[in-house]
Amino acid sequence: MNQPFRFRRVPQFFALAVTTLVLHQAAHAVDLRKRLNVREDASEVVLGQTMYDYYQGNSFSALNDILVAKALGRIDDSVTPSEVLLGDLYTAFGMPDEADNVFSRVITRDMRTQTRNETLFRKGRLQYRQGNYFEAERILNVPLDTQITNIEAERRVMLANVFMARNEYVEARNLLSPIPIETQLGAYATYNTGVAHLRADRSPEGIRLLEQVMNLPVSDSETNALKDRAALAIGYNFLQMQDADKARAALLNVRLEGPFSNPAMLALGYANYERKEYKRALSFWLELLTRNPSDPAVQEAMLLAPRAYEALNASQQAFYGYKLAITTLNNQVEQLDKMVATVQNPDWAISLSPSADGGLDADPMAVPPAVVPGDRIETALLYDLFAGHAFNEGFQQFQQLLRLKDLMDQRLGDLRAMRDMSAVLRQRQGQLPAIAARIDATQQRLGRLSDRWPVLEKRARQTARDTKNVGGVVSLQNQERRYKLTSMEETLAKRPDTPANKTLQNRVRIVKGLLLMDIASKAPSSQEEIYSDISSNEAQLRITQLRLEAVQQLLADNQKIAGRDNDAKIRTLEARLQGTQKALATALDEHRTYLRKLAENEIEDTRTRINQDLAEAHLSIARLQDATMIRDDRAPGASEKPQP
Amino acid sequence: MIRGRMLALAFLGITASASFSVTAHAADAPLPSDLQGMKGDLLNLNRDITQLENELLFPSSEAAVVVSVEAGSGVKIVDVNLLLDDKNAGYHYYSDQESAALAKGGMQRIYAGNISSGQHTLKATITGYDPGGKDFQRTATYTFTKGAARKVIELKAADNATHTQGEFRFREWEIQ
Repeated sequence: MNQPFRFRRVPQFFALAVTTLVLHQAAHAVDLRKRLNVREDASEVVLGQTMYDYYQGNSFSALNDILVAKALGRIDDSVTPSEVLLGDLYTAFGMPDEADNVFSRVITRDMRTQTRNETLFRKGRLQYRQGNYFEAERILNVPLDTQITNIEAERRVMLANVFMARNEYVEARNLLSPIPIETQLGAYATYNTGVAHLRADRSPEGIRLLEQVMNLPVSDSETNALKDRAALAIGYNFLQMQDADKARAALLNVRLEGPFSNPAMLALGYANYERKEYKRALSFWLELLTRNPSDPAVQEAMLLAPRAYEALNASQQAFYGYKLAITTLNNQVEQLDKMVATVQNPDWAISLSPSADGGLDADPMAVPPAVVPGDRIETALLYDLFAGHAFNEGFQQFQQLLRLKDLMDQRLGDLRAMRDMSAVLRQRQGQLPAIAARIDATQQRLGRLSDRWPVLEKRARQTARDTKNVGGVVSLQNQERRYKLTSMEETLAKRPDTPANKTLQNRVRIVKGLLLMDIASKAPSSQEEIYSDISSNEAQLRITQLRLEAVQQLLADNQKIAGRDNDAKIRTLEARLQGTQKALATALDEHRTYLRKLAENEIEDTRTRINQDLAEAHLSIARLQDATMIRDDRAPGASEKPQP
Repeated sequence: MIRGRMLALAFLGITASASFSVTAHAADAPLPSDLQGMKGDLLNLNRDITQLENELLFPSSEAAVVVSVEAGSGVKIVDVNLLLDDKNAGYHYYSDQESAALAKGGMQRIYAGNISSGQHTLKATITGYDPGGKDFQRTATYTFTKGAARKVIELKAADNATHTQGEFRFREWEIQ
């Protein structure tokens, strides 16, 4: 039975619809997969580049990267790793209040326990470093790990220091005992605890701990120096307890050429002197006299060596020993006077580190960790100052301020360059409407082409399916020619069959053949070529659309930039920068003055000590001279001068 | 008197407790509030200048290529030579410190520039050491399409399943 047309075609339409739908979904899925490979959340790549800067030691650049990324919305406060890094960077830059804000913000979130503990630790460490021990104890009281990791060890050390400051040594010992002494942190913690016990008159416990440090195996320079310090501390303690033998035994562990060899030799001399072994004492003190006379231990030995001579009844040697001490100490006083002039030089603080400027792009937070004075005498005279915490802190701040000043100078130059660039953009602003009009026109043309494309595509596919039918690819001109030739053929065919007519028909056939050959030679030779051309044109259309979108984006950017009042923005930034430069100059002067005052105080203390030594030397000479005169008076054949 | 001098020196010797060396000594001492305020202003100023600089210098046609190493892979990159559309785009030799930074998750920006929209081909020749310590040289090619937004492409070195050589993957970002 014949069904109506529409019902007969339903299955075919249905199949076509399903096919179309499936193909569409497949195409959409391909696009989606491609889109999924392209991410838009930039936090990972921004954080990765920031971390690279940070691990390179460019901490200020890393800090700036995070702040810029946050301002642009590429990272927000919810990204915990970047927040923790931001807190660390604020801490390193000397902004503990901001760091505390960040850590406090992070702690309130849902996160892994380990991350929370590490953030809590940072907050506790910040409080500890600021001297807020009550708050630090409250935060650090929570163990971070059941195992003694680096961070857990550091927590225990800080908490132990808080307890020791309150003389709660048992709690401190319990905290520190699980830390392996073989680690650097463990060695320092044991040393500090040992010294704390000594200060609290708990010598047996203190010495036991210090001996553990002293007996560590030889290792890197820092550990070896700590071993020497421990031995020295034990030696001094036994000297105080008047146990010269044990003091000597401990002091012999100090390296002869290490940084503590001078005080160790001085103390060894004491230990031998206490045992009345004056010659042995003398050997150590005479060795010290060959070393740098600016060293306090060497200066001490200058007075002790003559004293040992006195004990050996070698008065003449003692006399000349004191004379030499007076000459040398007077020289030291002259050096101190010169040092006063040096530290009062405004560039003195800068001269303390050879790489103080660090180069043009030096990161302000990558300052050298220690003072490196170039002058040997300066080093010896101001050793205690340079080794002290207060001076080092102030010096690091000073260096950081210097680099920030250089950075601001550089930024001022950058702003001037931007001002010039802005002027150029402003000049171009007049051209932008014309360019926008051209782009609009181009977009319209492209739009029309895109609208026509399905038709053209269909026609091309049709042609490809039937490559023998070259009619679809014939140009209008050739079509017209073919039409005329065909018309001529038909007209000639209707005429009588004369030789002239036949010649004409032949000619028309040849011309038509040539025309068809011409058409055929220009037509695609195969279906594949046609399909390839279709794909290529389609791709070209898509790329052209993309390029046009990019040009539109560029125009939009230019319009945005040109439309803004960049000049006003730059002027505002320049004003802010000049204000910052003034504040930096003031801060630099304050730090310069602070460092100078610390140095002057140190010089004054040294001068006082040397003057006391000088006075003692003079008195010793006078005492020697008096003793010599008394022995002369009592000798046989003494002078007949009446006795007073 | 000599005992007095000895006691004084002994006291001097042990009063200076060693402190464990930690980084960021500059932050140990409390800063006066005006210095923190000044630093805060300075940071904000530097941030604002950087933003304006980026707006003026780097329009949306910016593209960047970053190099990274998968954490824990054990691959060590020695150098990377980059070609963009067969033209030299960048070369970098990685010092030990830089290699360590990559191993910890850092990403190094090896190329940043303005490129036209459309399709481009990236070819990277990488030399390095695989997790077993054997040296290798590999070339990785990647084709991408640059549109209107800023483009970032990551070349990530990872370990392959047999731990014999490095494997290289590409990822793309489009940033508004």
